[in-house]
Amino acid sequence: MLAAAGLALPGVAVAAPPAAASPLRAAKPVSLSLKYQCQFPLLGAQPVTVRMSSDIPDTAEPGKPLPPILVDTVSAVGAKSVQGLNVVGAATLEGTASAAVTVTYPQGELKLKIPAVLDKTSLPASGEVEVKARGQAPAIRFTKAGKAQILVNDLLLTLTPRLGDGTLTGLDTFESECAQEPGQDNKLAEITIGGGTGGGTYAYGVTGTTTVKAGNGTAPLTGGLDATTDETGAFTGTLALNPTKADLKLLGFLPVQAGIALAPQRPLAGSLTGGALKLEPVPVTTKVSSFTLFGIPLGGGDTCTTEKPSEVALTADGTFDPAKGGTLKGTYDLAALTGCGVLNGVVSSAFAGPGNTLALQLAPKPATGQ
Amino acid sequence: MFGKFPRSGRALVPVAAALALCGWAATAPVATAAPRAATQAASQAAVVTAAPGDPGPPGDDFYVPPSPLPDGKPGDVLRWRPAKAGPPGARALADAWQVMYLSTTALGERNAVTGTVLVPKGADPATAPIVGFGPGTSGPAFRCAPSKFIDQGAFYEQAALNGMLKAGYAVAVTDYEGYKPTPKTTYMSGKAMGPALMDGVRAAQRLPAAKLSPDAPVVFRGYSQGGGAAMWAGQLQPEYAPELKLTAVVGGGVPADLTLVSLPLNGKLGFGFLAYALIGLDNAYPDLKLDSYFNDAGRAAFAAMQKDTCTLELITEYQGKRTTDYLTKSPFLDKPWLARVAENKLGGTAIKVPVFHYHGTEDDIVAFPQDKALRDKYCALGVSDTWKTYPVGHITGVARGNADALAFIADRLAGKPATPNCEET
Repeated sequence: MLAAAGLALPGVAVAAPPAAASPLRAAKPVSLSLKYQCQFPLLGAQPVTVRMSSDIPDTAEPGKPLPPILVDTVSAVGAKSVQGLNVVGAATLEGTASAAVTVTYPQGELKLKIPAVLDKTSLPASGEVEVKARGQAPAIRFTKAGKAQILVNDLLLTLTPRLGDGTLTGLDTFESECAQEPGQDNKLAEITIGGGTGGGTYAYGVTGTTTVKAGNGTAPLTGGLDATTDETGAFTGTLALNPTKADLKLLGFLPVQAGIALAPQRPLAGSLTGGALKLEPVPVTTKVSSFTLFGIPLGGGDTCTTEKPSEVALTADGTFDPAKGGTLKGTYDLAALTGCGVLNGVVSSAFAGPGNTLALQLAPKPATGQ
Repeated sequence: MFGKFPRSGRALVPVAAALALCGWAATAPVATAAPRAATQAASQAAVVTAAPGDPGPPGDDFYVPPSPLPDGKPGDVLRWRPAKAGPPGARALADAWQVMYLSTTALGERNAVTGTVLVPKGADPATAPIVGFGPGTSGPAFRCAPSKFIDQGAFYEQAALNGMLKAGYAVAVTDYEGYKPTPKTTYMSGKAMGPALMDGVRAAQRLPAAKLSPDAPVVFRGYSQGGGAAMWAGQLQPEYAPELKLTAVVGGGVPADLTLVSLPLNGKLGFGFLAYALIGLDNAYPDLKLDSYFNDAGRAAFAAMQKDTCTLELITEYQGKRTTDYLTKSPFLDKPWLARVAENKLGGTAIKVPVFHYHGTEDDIVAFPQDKALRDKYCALGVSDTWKTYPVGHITGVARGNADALAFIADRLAGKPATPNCEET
């Protein structure tokens, strides 16, 4: 829904109107003061200082739009400009402003124009005048984890001074280009997409299969993955797989059913940058709780487990969007089993060997309590 | 403060000047420009000369005329370079170039003048009408050159330019004579402004990049100083630039009679314009020797004006000043000044195309009655003069006539007969 409304760009999208935008955490007050040189008729370049303030969350969830950003500005227009407006007989000043804004995000940058309407302002006889305005940025939706910045660049003012009777002055309506004075920090806000304190956590339901080559069989898998990304692109996740049953062939033809449990020995760890998920191999222990031939137990049990964990290297199938989930695949070797009873060797022969596969589909769990 | 009775010592000179001037202006023989006209006619072959293919010198060097001036005819492009048409809205409307072109001084000598050529992006340049636009007072300092203000996006008549560009007209905005790093502007010298405006149109037609037609319908337009320039161009065109397909002239807030414009400015809001007119005439006519009239304050102030003063500062820094603050005696008492002022008085010749002529009735800078008198003079000369007044002062009048001016131009270009109102009083 938002994707359809949004501007499709890698890593960031602008959704307007932000119908489903909801702040995921408290917006944070940000402010920025920037000095400009604005071109005014009769005057040429004149100083204008613009103080901006807004409430912008410092974290965002990938795939979920930020609430629309309102930016309040107070522009201090210099005394000479006021004098110029007085000379043309202006009593009030009104108009619009358009701020050129760059949103940088891990995959690139997006250039936006943020419009604002200036409050109609009465002009003093001398000295500076402050002109207030409120602008609204389109709702921004980041799709990838990482760090985003909102940078404010040049301004374009469209100004209409008016005489006391409301009619136009000799300047009519004019445009004023405001060039930012160099060497200023123009960062209005920094947003961490994913990660942070609880942000960028994802909960997936897991379904999949594993194949055991030695036993020429497969087992369905279910479970869950709780993953976290942070602004550096680090990806961590806790994978838990439910016990399952594998239909295998002993000695190539005897139908065996095995109760198995795959247990990762530590959390998944890796990186997610630019949609590329890279995971370090994770040690996975396989336990065989039961092993029956025609319903007759041959072995297995609590102590029946691989001699050493399998190193399972999982890779994402294509681009991985943590908001949408995806498929993780890997192949692994199974070590010999131990502790499986008197027929340990028989049981082990149905498992041990290379070329086993694992395929896990990650589907985001419905959000709860957000 | 203007209401205070002036101290006697200060009042004497301006009052005497006013009396002397009015007397002189009424009876002075009108000097003619016959020698210059003859020169122009001889060089009227109007062969289109290609502009040089390379953009002009960078930065402010662009404004330094080559010395000696190359051969060529008035309106020939000496150099050009791409420029901005103004702020972003204008840049979306038009392509622009700064040009330096040959023209003619008030004394009939060859000179080089700068300006800006704007061509609307949507229009076919081969058929686009061309408006020769004379800007209002921009100021004596080099930085005030209209072409600089346009390029930097600070031209106070940008709304007028945008209106014409939106209508599909190319616009040739003359800077007038004299904007260079050591400026020597000939402000209010109609005999220099008229040729500068006309040759700006010729330059636009001869600038290859603009692709405009030598047969394009032409309009002269301006307000304030530009109104004077447009009227001067209108009066001089049949003789100076007969090849131009002049279709209409639009002049607002016209300073037709410098005497009657200057005198009410003394001690008032517009004194800076009076002072600048003295500078301008002195630059146009070396025999005037303004320097010999200065007191110390005047020498310093007038030098400072030419260094850094543009229109706004002419008002803010010089309002309420008087000639006696800067001059030991009024130049207007002296014959050479009176003769040059008379030479630059509008209304001596008819304009042969329809004129839209307007003025604010509350004008506090360019006196209303002297422009109304010009209108009456034009009417008497048989000019098709459509006269309109607005209940505004001079500065508000800069934009107030824009819509009517555009409508008048559009109707003339469409071939509709003008509806002059000379029968109205």
